[in-house]
Amino acid sequence: MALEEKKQMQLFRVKSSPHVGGSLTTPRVMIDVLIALAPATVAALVLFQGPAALVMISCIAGAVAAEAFANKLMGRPNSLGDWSAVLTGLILAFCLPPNFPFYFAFLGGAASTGIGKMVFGGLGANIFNPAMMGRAFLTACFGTMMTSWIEPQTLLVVGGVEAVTQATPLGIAKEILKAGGDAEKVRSLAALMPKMFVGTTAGSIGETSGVAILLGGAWMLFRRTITWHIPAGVLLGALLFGVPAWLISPETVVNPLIHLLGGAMLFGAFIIATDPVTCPLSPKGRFFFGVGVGLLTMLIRIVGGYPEGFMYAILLMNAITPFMDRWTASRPLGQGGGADA
Amino acid sequence: MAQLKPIPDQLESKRLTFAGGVHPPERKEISEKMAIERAPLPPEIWLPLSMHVGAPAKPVVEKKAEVKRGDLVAEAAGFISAPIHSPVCGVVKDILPLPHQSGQMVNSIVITTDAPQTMAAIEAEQTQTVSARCDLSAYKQDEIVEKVKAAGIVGLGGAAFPSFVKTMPGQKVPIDIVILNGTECEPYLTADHRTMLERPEPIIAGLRLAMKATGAKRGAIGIEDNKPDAIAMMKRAVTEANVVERIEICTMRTKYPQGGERNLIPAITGRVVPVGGFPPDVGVAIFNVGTALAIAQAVVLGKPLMERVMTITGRGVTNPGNLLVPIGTPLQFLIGERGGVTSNAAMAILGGPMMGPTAPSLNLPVLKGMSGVTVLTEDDVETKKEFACIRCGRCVDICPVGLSPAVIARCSQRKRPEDALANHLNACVECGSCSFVCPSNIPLVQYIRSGKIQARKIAN
Repeated sequence: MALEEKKQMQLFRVKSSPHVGGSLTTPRVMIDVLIALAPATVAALVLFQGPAALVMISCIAGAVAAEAFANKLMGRPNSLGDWSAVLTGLILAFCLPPNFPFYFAFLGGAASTGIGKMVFGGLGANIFNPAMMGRAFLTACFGTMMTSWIEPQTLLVVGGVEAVTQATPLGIAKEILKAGGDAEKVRSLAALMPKMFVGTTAGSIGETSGVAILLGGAWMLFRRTITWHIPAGVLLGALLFGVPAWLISPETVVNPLIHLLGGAMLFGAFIIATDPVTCPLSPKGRFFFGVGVGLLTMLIRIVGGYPEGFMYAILLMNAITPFMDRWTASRPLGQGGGADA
Repeated sequence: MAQLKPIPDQLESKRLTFAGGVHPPERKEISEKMAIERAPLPPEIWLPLSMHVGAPAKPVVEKKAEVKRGDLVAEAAGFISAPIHSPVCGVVKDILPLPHQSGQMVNSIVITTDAPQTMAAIEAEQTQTVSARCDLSAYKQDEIVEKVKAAGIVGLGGAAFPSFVKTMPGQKVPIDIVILNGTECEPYLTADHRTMLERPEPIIAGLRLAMKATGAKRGAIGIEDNKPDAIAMMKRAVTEANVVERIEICTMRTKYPQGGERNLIPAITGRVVPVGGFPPDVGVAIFNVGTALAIAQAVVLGKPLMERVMTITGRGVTNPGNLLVPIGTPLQFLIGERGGVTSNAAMAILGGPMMGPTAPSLNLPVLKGMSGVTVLTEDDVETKKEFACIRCGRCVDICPVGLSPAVIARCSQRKRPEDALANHLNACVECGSCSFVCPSNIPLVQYIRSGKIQARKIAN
């Protein structure tokens, strides 16, 4: 009788359709990016070892701590379960020199989620890339430490001896530019290209190994965490500026491939610029966002005062993302959009 | 009006589709192998006066009146409206407000069934069938329209729009193709699939009638390629019928919402229905395959719309299947007679899970536009944690009508209907694809629906 009654009176759940959902979740998206960072993490640990590990841990700890603290302060539920703080911390660490002091790295991590994300209202509400905000904070505070580089595997080779400092390929490229040309340095840089692909040149923790980054990028494309639009846009934008500059003045401007492999360009194209929160919504918008990042980076590298300009390029493009969203707003099917476009 | 694009010449050779869309789990296996059975006669039939788009019908019977199967019990009240016929022989018990799919109480005619008499009437009908190659010369254009109108036929795919309006000749733009929608892209539902497998001939007859009424030179039946048997069956039926009309069976890619008319029409014809417009604006008349069947039965056999094929499915029903159901059958009886729902049944959906509304209870009658009931279990409907929008753009990438759902939803959430309208709120077809893909589990369609309500308020 009880079952009979239940059949009669059955009260079902009422809600708005659809009643099925896909399996992909936002934490899974973040974890996919973390998986994409795994090859570069391994490369960093091999190349820069203990100090790199310390910086990575400190950045993540700082990012997580600031997010937890901000949530507490604002009386919001804990949001660490979305994994975005861990990701932000790791991305920041990848953009820091391996010998960066770990306590300042912690501070940078805290700035990235604290100032870069939580003050805007948390995940999804920030205008600027949080990791780049953290890096901008550190650049402003500790400029010299942010541009002192060590030779990879120094510790491996010389044991406990203090690390040997070394210029980055982009640093050398800037020297060539400033000197108005230096044939010998141009040649030595060209010879560096295979090493840049593997990662055995001086540079930021996670940015030196081209092959590790490409592996991660391939994973994200495979998982559809990202689409091709931004990476292709960034690399195309860089070449759009780099190739003509190189052709016009081959003795002062280095091979554009060095620009693609050097600094944050590859890492940024696949990992930093593809942060969904701070890039445009539509595929078209994302592509032109990427082009803008590539162009601006090269403008800073070749015309501007710094050897590397990826961070500024990202932050500048982040600032105009709302406008890009408006320019590239999707048009409905049957109103100049879709199949009749 | 600009010249319409010519329809591609060969429609059968390619697998056709649209841009965007999603792939929800199909779950057709629950019921796709089950032949259509006749549902038992309920002791009581509830016929709501409103089960179509347009004005509610006006009762023409009174309490205690005796009715026969097929008798008119309510007439159309206005141009966009539809008459209602009794699927049973019996006595009008009452006319009173009863629960309805809309969630409101709707005036309904209650008829007490006389089972033996009804069974006898149904038996007598069994001998009549419609052949695919039946002679249409006996029917004039407006005669077909008149019969479709008088039979109370509405879109059986779910929209329940009065079908005669679409069959009328002399539209603004000449109709050059009639499309039958046999895609059945909603997960779970298999009623159209079974109808195509078991009643291919009257479907073709219905298509030919619609072509004759509208003056269309071409006819097409779009079927998703997850139903290869239905594609083969319809192709064979067309070949065997060997009729003069040009009818093509279009293989559509299995992708949701392939059966949305705004996506099916461009996929087949290359023409896009303008926002705010309708299929006839691009020379297309489109019907569900079940509607075509009803048209054939109405015109050739003079049988009004009083029953329909529907799917009872989901892991929440003990006995799924495809049933030929008298319209007005209370769902409680329909599903109860088949062993009812399982103990962990959690949600009853009227239709499929992508677009179907939920019912708080089964205390509702079957309507003309109800293509099925999907009962989900607790396991199927686990509520997922909602995260903030990370602007990943997946909803933009898959929106089958080219919108930015996240943007519209945000405008609606912030109660800014003007901004939502500027982002083409009204072009949304509420197919649910965006909510389906959202990794943050944001109920985007729900927000968009509330935005439409806000927009209507500011319009008034």
